[in-house]
Amino acid sequence: MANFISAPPPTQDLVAPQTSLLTRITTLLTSLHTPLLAHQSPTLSIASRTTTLPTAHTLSFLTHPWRFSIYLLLLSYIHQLLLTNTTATKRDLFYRNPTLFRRQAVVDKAIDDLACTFGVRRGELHVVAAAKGLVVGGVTLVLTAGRRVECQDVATLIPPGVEGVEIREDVKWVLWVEKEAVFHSLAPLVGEDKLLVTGKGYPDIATRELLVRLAAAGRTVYALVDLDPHGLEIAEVVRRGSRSLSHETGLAVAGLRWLGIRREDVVGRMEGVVRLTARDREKAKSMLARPEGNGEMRVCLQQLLWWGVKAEIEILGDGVWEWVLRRVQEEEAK
Amino acid sequence: MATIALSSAVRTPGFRSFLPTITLPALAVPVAIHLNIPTLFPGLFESILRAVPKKKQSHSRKRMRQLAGKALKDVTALSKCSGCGRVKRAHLLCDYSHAGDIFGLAITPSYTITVASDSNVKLWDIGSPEHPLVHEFSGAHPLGAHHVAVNTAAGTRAASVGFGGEIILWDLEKLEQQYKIKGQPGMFLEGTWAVALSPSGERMAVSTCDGKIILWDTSRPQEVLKTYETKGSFGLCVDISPDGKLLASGHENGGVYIFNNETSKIFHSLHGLVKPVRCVKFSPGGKLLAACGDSGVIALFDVASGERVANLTGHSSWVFSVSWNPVGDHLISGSFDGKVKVWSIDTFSCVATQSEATAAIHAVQSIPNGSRIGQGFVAAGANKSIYYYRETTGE
Repeated sequence: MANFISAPPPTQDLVAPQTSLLTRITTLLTSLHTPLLAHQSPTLSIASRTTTLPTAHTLSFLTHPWRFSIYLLLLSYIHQLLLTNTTATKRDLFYRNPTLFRRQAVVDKAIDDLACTFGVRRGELHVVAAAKGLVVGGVTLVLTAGRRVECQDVATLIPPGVEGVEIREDVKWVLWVEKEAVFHSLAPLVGEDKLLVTGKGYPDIATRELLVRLAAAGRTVYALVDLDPHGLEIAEVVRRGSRSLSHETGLAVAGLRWLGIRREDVVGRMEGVVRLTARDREKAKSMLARPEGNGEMRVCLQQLLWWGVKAEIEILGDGVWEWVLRRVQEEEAK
Repeated sequence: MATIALSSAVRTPGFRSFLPTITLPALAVPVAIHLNIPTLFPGLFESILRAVPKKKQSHSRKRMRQLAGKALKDVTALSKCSGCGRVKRAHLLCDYSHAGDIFGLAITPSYTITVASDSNVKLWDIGSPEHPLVHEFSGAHPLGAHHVAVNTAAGTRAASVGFGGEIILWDLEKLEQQYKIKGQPGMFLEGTWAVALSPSGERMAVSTCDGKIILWDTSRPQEVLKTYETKGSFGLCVDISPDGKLLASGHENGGVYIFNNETSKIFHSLHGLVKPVRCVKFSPGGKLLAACGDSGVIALFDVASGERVANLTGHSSWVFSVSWNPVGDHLISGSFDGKVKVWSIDTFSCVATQSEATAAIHAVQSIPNGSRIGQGFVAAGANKSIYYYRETTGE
């Protein structure tokens, strides 16, 4: 942390957003000198993401030495990344000092906090998550420096930093499934004129970015999730954007169509359903209590609570793909 | 790590080579599946069945009639629904009672009370043929409500339970909220589910998700009167006997318990039902207890001895709700597939099946004595409508 570029005089508040991120981080770091020279405890102003509107709270080294150190260390890493114009994964940052960070989740949360504090997307801090999502079908991902990843035939990890997509003309719609197991069972059936995406549970930013790109290219995105509170929440995350990452704008697929599974698919085959656990009930209740929790999701959650059951995609059995094709046809007819 | 290294490492060659080993176990798990075409394509099937060839009228003939002023006329006979205020065609019933599924239904001699997916508790006039909306406690349960109960005989009190776990006691004479019991996290009140009021309205019983049955004195709802413990299975339903002395509960593991309120002890533990029990109801005389649920069977127990008297079989799906007629010689039941059945208790057989509703019937209630429309029953459920049935003389 010795070789800082000279920066404007330190201020209490964060610098105006139009100055470059690098300058703002430098400013923030150098501003810590002032209290140190005055023999005072240095403080950081970090946005809190727990409230609906991010609010800043002050973190003092004296009261929260561990958390202060984490933010400071991560800031210096990010500063280095920005200076050298390189990118690192969250996992990579964690391994640079696992003793301090203790758990990966600590780094993940702190990075999101910092992104929120600076009002930028995480990618702009040059920090990415390891690729998690999978895609297969008629699309070619265009990466930085014009490198291309073709996704036909083989399930391909969705890398961070996709700069563009080239979709085959005859691809009319995209199916996004919640579960990896379902993805793998469907992947061999997807031809070049279809697209299949999974985020393996809660989708990461790269997967959601890809879905946004596909939706922006005029392809309808259909969601296939479990009929349980978590499945519905995952669909909501894709549709509206994550609640805890509300500073990551532009990640909502507003036109997401909920393909299923719906209660109609479960009717008459009650033998494959599972009882709701107490945790499912709590989850459903907290989702119902959210201000935006309205529309079809509200009724669906209430029905789940009323019936006391949930159903997984696997209840459809071997004919998932045929079922998907049929349902998409029905949806298109609407 | 550099960007370049990251991006090039993302593709996983040979993914496909181990695909079969992943796919097969994942698909081996689910139960036997039969694609039930009619339920998957309800709309389509109906349209095929109804597409009867019609005598075609030629374009020129149509035009001639139009010019002669004999064409089809626009429908102008519209009226406002007295219930919801929406415009509807005159002489036809309005389709909407609530904006969402109706979960709970209770009937007093003057009102039909419904709670539903929306946040309102609605009171409908039962006596008049149009059954207009009389009163609405709007916004009472912000997350929606699922159970409502009344003291049937007098019809002075109601209690409703919302998805948020709150219980509200209503005064039906003054049409106002009497008291609100709010479940707090970590307290024993968490996870309240079904509710029942004693016929006099003095006692209120509520089941909880951890299998407890909590009893209140409705004149002092601030404190709990009694708590009955069971084996911890979700309490899906609860009922109080007509004399107020006994209390019955049905649970998710199929357990049915009868408690004696005077001795505060368990009176009977009725087993034999394996699947969740969704509704228990004492007969008007208090001699029998009807229990129904996911097995599709309605079991009748003798309250005094605890023996199972009869099994009423005929429903092919979950039975959500049962109700006795005021005399106690008939039983009404509503099920998941939208069927409402009327059972004779003399012969233990089904005497009528109503299948007007296409979606699940969540609640049925018989109309008590003292209402101005005579004998009958009311059913409500997932297609947002309230169905009124009158007893026919031939039955």
